[in-house]
Amino acid sequence: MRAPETEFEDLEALLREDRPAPDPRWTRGLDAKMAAGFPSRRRRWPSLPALGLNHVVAVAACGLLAVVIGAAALTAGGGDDFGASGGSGGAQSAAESDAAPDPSGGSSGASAGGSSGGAAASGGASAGETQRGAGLQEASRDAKGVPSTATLAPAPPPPGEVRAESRARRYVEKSAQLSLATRPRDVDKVASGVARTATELGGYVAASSVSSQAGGTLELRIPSDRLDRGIARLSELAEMRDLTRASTDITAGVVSAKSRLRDARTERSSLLRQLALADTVNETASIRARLRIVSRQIERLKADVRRTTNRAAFASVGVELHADRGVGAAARDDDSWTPGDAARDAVRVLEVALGVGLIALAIGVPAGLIALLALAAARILTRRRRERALDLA
Amino acid sequence: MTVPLTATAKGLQFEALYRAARDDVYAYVATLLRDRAAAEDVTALAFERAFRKRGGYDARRGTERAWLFGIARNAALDELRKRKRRATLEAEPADLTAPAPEDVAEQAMRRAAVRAALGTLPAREREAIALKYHAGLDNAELASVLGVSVSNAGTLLHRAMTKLREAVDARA
Repeated sequence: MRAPETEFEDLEALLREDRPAPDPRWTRGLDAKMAAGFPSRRRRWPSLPALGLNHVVAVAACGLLAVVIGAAALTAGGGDDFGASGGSGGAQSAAESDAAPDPSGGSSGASAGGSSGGAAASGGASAGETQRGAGLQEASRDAKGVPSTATLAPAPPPPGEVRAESRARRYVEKSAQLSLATRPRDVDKVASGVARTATELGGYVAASSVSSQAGGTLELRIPSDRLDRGIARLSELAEMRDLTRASTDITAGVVSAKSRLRDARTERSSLLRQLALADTVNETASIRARLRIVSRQIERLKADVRRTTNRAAFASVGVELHADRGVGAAARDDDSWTPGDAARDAVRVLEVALGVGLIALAIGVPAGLIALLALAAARILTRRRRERALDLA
Repeated sequence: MTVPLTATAKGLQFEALYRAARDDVYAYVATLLRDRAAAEDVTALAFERAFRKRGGYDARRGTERAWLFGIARNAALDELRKRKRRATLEAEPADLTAPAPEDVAEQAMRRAAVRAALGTLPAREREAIALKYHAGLDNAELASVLGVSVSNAGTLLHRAMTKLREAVDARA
């Protein structure tokens, strides 16, 4: 009897000799497929490994692309927010000023600036005109010693007349308050620029108080139709930190002043006609005295009309100039993009990219873990099924 | 130093692997499935899968042959699963154990006896013998393909050979 080793060696030799050999025709067919790179009818696009790309590299590239796109989108949105912060703040202030009238009243509210200027001007104008009307009636009473007649006491313009003139033309008083910041050494230069801007736009500097290195305030009058251009040019001179705008409809005041002037002129014409018909010395003297009063009223009313229309023609612009050492490139006249700007932009982009990356991780990590678990479970299940198929074969 | 292979280099490397292992893979699959037609399909499918996945081969996890036979094994086991599902509809697989008419010599009779005895072994033991003696894998590669340790692979192989000897002796 042969030893087991010998038996195994014999078996091994027999097994090696008797191994199944493939059909040469099938072998040639497979060689041809191999030479052609196993063309597939189902797959239209080459797989990543066929392209020489590692799966990990491909996934990382897709993730990076998503982060970059998200960062770009967020940066665009964030940039708008930053750029519009001054304007939006101003708009909000203006809206607040429209909604909250100043109880103190007085026309000085407009020039004093602040958000309450516009509403204050409105209230002040109405109150002042009412007072002036009352004062006019009182003066005529003092001069004659008797209650004024209908012709002597100018009546307020009828509502229909005001509405008709309002339809023809509206008078809007505009005002704005700017807060500019610049470096201390540039205060004088910016102040000069503010004054020059007002002049170039057809306006003027009503008042100014500027201290070198410390800042100051300037009160400008700029033609109302050039207010937007003026604000734009002023904002280029230094870093604009705050902007408040207000508009007040003063059509009623203008119409009222013009109406009173018209009434006064009518009265003077009437007095002149009465003077021509006067018979007695006393009567003539009385009419002349009344004419002098009415003439002075007409001068005052002309000034009123002129002042009121000027309020609509020229916008009041208050400029507060602050000296701030921390002001950066935005305060420069040339508005150039410096390495400092680039560094700030780069930091901002990195911040946004980091944020987007964190959000992507917060979503992607749990989803990825779940996918990995599912993949592992599927592989384990498939392996078990295969082994079971082998046991059952 | 390990130099990353380009796609072209990988293609050439795979072609060399294909030339060296084509008949071995076929022999292993045919022994496992006991069906020449199915073995041809499964072998072709295994090479196609390996070609598609050739970029994912990791030399640290075993030799190229072990990696290729792992793919072939999965394809063959998938075929066995499919065959189990349609077992009632298909005829019995072709009998590879029938001796050729011209095999009349003693050596030929012994080969036929071994072939017949191999057909009686369970699939798991038949697989181990096929990987070792038909495909020519060493014990380490065998262990890598079967997903067991090298010592377990040796034990499994020895047990299979002992059973094969018993089956051959029983037929003698």
